[in-house]
Amino acid sequence: MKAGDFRRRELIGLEVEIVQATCASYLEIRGKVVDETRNTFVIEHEGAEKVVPKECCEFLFREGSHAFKVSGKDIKFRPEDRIKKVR
Amino acid sequence: MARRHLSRSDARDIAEERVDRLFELAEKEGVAGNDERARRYVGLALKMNERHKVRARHKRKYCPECHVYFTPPRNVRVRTRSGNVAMTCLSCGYVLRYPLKSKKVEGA
Repeated sequence: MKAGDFRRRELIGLEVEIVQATCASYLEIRGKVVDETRNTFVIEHEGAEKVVPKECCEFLFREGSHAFKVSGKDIKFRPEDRIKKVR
Repeated sequence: MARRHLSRSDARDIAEERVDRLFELAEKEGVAGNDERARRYVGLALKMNERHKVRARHKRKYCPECHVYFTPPRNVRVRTRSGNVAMTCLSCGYVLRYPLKSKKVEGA
């Protein structure tokens, strides 16, 4: 699957970790994506829900044996708009 | 080269796949008792339907009024009533009715 195709798919329910962020405290967050808004992801990390902004982070999504690295800036759209707006 | 434009039918295919995935997730959360999260997933799926003109499916799996995912018998009461099936949402009280039998075709 191409990176562009992956960015159009459903990201809720996938395992994610943050590989790059402007704020160091985001780097330790990893877990399952439980919600998505235009600007943020809600990630379930050690039983707590963490709200992470898309703008300042780079995410590594895992789907089965595949891993996809996505910059938050590229997916900063509402979840239903992401299909059409992603380049 | 990256594809710049996505045809409407391709977008619809992806939207359909995502709607199915969201309903799967909503079911999982509903069975686990997380109604709020299931409600959010149903809401997202319905928005996706609207935006990409996907024909609405899964119509009897959620409350059309409050979007709670039905996990009988915990949050919905299902009864047959005068030829209809009545599903009462126990979270908001909305009654969803649909006919038990398909309509008879005259002269058939």
